Amino acid sequence: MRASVYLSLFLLGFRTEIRLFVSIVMRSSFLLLLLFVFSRLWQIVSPGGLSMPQLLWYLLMTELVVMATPRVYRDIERDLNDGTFAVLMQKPLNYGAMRVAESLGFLFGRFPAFAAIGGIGTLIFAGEVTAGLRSPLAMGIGCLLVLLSASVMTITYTVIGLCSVFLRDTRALSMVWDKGVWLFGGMMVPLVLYPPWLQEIASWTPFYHILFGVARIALDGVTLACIHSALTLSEWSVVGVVLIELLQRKIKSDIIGEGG
Amino acid sequence: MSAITVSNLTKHFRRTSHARPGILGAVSQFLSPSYELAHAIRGLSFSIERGERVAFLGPNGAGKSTTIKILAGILRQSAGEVSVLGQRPIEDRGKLSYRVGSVFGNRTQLWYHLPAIDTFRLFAKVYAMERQVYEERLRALIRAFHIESLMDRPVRTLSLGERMRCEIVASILHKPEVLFLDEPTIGLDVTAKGIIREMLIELSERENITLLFTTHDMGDIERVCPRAIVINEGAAIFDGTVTELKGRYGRERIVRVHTSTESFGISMPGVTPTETAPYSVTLLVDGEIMPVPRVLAEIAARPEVIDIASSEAPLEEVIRLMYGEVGKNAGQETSEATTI
Repeated sequence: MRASVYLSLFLLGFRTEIRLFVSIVMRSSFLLLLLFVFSRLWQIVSPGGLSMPQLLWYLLMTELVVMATPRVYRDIERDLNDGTFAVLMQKPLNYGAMRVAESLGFLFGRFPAFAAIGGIGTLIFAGEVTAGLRSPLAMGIGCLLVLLSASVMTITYTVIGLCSVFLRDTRALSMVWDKGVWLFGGMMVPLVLYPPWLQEIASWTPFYHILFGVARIALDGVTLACIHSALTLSEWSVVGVVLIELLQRKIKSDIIGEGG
Repeated sequence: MSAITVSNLTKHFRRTSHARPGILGAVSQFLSPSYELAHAIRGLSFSIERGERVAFLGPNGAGKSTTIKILAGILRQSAGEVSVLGQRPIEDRGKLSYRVGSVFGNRTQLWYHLPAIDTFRLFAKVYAMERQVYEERLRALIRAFHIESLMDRPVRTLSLGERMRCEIVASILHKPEVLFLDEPTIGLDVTAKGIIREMLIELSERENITLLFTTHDMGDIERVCPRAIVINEGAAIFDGTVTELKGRYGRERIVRVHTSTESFGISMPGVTPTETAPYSVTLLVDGEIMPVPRVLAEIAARPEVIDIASSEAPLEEVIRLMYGEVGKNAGQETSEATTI
C-alpha cells in the first residue's frame, strides 16, 4: 500500500469538496440558523447552571463533528450493489483505504469553511468566546479534536457501508448509529445535564467520546478528560481500520466465490 | 504466444431455491434453506493470441460477464484452467492488475466533479508510473484520442462520447497488454461510436493490445473485431472469423420491396416479413427453404412492385438466427439447475 496513492486520493476528495462550494454554503447557512435558534432558546432557558456562550460553543463543536463527516456509507453501499467494488478489485488499490482517504479529503475540505462560518456566527450570537476556548491553543486543540472525532466517524461510516454486503441496506444501521450519537453523545445538550445513571450508561458507549469527550472543551477548557477522549478515539480508529480490512477480505472472498 | 487461454472452464453458482410459494414457504426456506446449483459456464474453451481483437457475444445470461469476471480475477472458476498473460487471474490478481485494463460502458472510473486529468494523475500513482513515462504516455494518448480540449473540464460537463474517450485513456494509461471492454459504445451516437471504434483499432494495432469485447452492437463487431466467439448457456457455439460467422448462418437474405399500393402481401415458405410500412415491406428470405431468385421472380411479376433490392442479412440477424437455433435445441435439454 503506497502512501502517495492515498495522499492523492485525499487531495482528490479535498479538491472535489472545494468545487462543491454551493453545498458548503447551504450547510453553513443551516448551521448558522441552528446556532441562532439555540442562542435564542438558551437566552430564555439556561439549563444546569451553564451559560449561553458555553452551551452555544459546545453545540458548535458537536455540530462540526456531525456536519463535517461525509456519509461515505452511501457511496460504499452503491459500489457494492452496482458492482463497482468488484470492478475496483482489478486495480492495485485497497478499496477501504481509498474510500477513507477520499472521505477524509471531503472532511478536511469542508471543515475549515464550517468552522470559520460557524465560529463567527457563534461569536456574534453568543457575544463572546467561551472561557474554555479563549486561548489560541485551546481553540487549536478544539479544532484538532473535532477533526479526530470526525475522522473516527468517517472510519465508522466506512465500516457501516461495508456491512451493506450482509445487510443489503445500511439505512437501519446508520440510523441507529446517528441516533446513538445524538442521544448518548450529547449532541444538543451536554451529557453533564443528563441524570447520573444515564451519564454512566452513555460513558460506556462509543458515542460519549465522539461528541461529548471532544466538545466538553467548550465547557471546561483543555483537561485530562479531553486527552483521554483523544486517546480513546485514536484506539478506536485502529480498531475501525482492522474491521475495514476484515470486512473487505470477507467481501472479496464472497465475490470471488459466488459473485457477490 | 497466447494472451488468454481458457480450457474446460466451468462455473456454477449456489443460489437459494424458491420451491414453495407464500409465507409458509418463506418461513420454511428461512428455517431450512435449500439451494440449487445454477450452471453459468459449462466446459468453455478458447485461446486468444496477443494483439487479437475478439468479440465475445451471447444473449443475456449466456455467461459472457461471468467469463470476463473470471478472466479479470474477480470470480473463481468451479473447474477448468484459465491463464491471462501466463498468469492465473485469481492467484496473481495483484501482478496482473498492472498488465490488464478494463472499460465498462455503463460505469465510470473518472472523478465526476473534477477534470479527467486529475483521475489520470491518480492512476499514474496507482500504477506506480514514473513521472516522465506518465507524461509522455499521456501526451501521446491525448493526441491519439483528441481530448486536448477536454482536459480542464469537469467530467460531469462532458458528453457521453467525450467521457468514454477519457474512460478509455484512463484504462490504457498504464499500457495494459490485455483490455477487456464491456459495451464500450453503449448509449453513444453513430459519430461517437465510429470515433471510439477507429481509436480502438488504431490502439490495438499500434501497441499490440489484445482486445476482448463484449457488446450487443453489431457495428462494433463488424468494424473492430476480425474474430468472434459466440456463447450461449455457458458453452461456445461459434469460434471463428466474423466472415465465417456470416457465411455459416448467411443463408438468409433481406429483400426490400417498394410498391405503388399501400400494402403488399406474399405467402411463400421461408419468406417472413420483418418490417411493414405503407408502400414498402422488408422480407427475410431463408435461402435453404426457398431459393432467393424464385422469390425475386415472384415479387417482380407483381404489377404493384416498383423496386426490389436484395442484400445480405445483417450480422444482427445472423446472430439472432444463431441464438434462435440454439434456443430451440436447448429447449429439448434437461433443466439447467440442480437442486442440492
